Amino acid sequence: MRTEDELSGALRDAADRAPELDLLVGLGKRRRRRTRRRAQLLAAAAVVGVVGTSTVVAQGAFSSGGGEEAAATSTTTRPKPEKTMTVTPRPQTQTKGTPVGKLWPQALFQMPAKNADGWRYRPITGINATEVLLAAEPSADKAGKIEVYDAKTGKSRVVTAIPRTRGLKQYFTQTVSTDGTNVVWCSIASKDGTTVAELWWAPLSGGKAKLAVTLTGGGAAVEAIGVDGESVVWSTRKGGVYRKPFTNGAPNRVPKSDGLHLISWPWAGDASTDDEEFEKFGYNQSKIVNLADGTVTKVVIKDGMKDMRCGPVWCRGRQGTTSVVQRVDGTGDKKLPKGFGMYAILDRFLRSADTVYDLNTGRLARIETPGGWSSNGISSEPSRILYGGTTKGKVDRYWVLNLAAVPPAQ
Amino acid sequence: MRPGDVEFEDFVRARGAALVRYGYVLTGNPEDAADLAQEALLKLSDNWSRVRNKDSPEAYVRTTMARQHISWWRRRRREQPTDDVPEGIHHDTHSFGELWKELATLPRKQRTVLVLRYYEDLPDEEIAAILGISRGTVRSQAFRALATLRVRPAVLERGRA
Repeated sequence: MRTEDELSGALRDAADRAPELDLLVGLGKRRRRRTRRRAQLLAAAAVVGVVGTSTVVAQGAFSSGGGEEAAATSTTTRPKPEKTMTVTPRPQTQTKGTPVGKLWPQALFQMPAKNADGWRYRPITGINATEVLLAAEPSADKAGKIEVYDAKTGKSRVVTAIPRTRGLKQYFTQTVSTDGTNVVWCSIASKDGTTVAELWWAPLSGGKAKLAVTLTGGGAAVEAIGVDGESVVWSTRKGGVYRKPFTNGAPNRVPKSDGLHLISWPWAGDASTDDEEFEKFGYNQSKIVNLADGTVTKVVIKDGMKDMRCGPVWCRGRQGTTSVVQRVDGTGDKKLPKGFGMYAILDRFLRSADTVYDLNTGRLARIETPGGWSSNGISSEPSRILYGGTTKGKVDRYWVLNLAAVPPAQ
Repeated sequence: MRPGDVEFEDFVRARGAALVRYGYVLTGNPEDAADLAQEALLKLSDNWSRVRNKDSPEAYVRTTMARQHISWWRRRRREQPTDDVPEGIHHDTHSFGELWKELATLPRKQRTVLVLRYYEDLPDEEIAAILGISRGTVRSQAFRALATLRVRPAVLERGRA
């Protein structure tokens, strides 16, 4: 006879050998096909006089590659069959740019994909030019430890173990942030059917994790976290930035943060992540606020600009289906192909599926993916880490691009 | 692009690999794992603003995957073109041991109960709620599956860990 532990072990071993796939790639295709199928069903239903299900098509109009078009159709309440039934194959674009290893050799390195316990590493972000913050996960997809890997020495060290609070179910550590001295993270769990968010803190030099605050109700809708040296900072989907000292004191609202959403401490903007507010206030971020000193800078928004998202210097928006980048003051505008992310990493880099664009130099780096996939770190602020497997199938090592290691002028 | 879409994509980027692993232990093969995860993610994206305001998106998508695995998704999959193998899929010819191979012989419901119990470490009460079956059914399904696999259960029913 076998034991239950052997069964758990077999499942976990198998999970570790699961392929690493980019689910987003297939998702767009799948959605378009489903939308088409629904449109056909709908057309058939219309023939026999059944009406009133038209919102289904609009609801289904999301695609990973063509979010712009999706936004246009998702607000309509009636389907446009001529649009939803046309399926244009994804264009096979020739990826341009300089190989990243040639452009930024000092930022590209390899590291083990597992820690000393055999747990899979999930990169969080680049701390500085050589160190990478990592979550180590025991097989069942739960973050168990926070570690730091140093590309210079090729060694990693444990920062802290991630505790799990008793009595909470479906406990998942969702997002992490660091200021180079401290690390904070947010775990979301459920208790008696309601959501609970816990914000934790540990010194990056190593030490026991401390629970800074537990949030429930609407307050548990944490969208972003950060750290300001002595407090954990967070914003909620309804807007408003809060902070709570690591070990004592009460949570308080950061002054003049009404309606603001944390981007990367101390920077916050008024572009909402809440759908209702989004409908009400529109698509553009109108200001960028430094919550540490209270400075508010208005964003210069040109005619026809939508989805504007800005850091302290750079903005990315779109005009029609063209991505546009510009500085907050409206200068330096330039068109980019679509597919680049919203907030710039380090207020400097925009990432697409297989390239990184440097806003400061105008250079485009091409990412090679020997394992057939790439992913970004899980930090709250736009992660400085891009990584992937060095081989197809079983992953023993990662290639890592640490954008914090790219020198200013390069 | 709506902010919700960006959030959703961030969620998929951050948690996609974990969901594929979960799909893999549920289904036993990479194609079905990706298929199951993607179908569940489509459902999640339809309900994104509601789910992320009320529940954990991850718990939602995992529950959807477990339920879909034992209900309609396989039928649905057959309707789809066969060229829809997600990019990057790779057939691993390694053997993961006898126990893993024998798992493939179990009916889907029994396998799902075992995955929730021994991979997700959930108590029977929660498994019952996720799958919409009684606790007694969870117990009997697990009992039969363990007997097939010749695994000796330590306790008859698993309570809260």
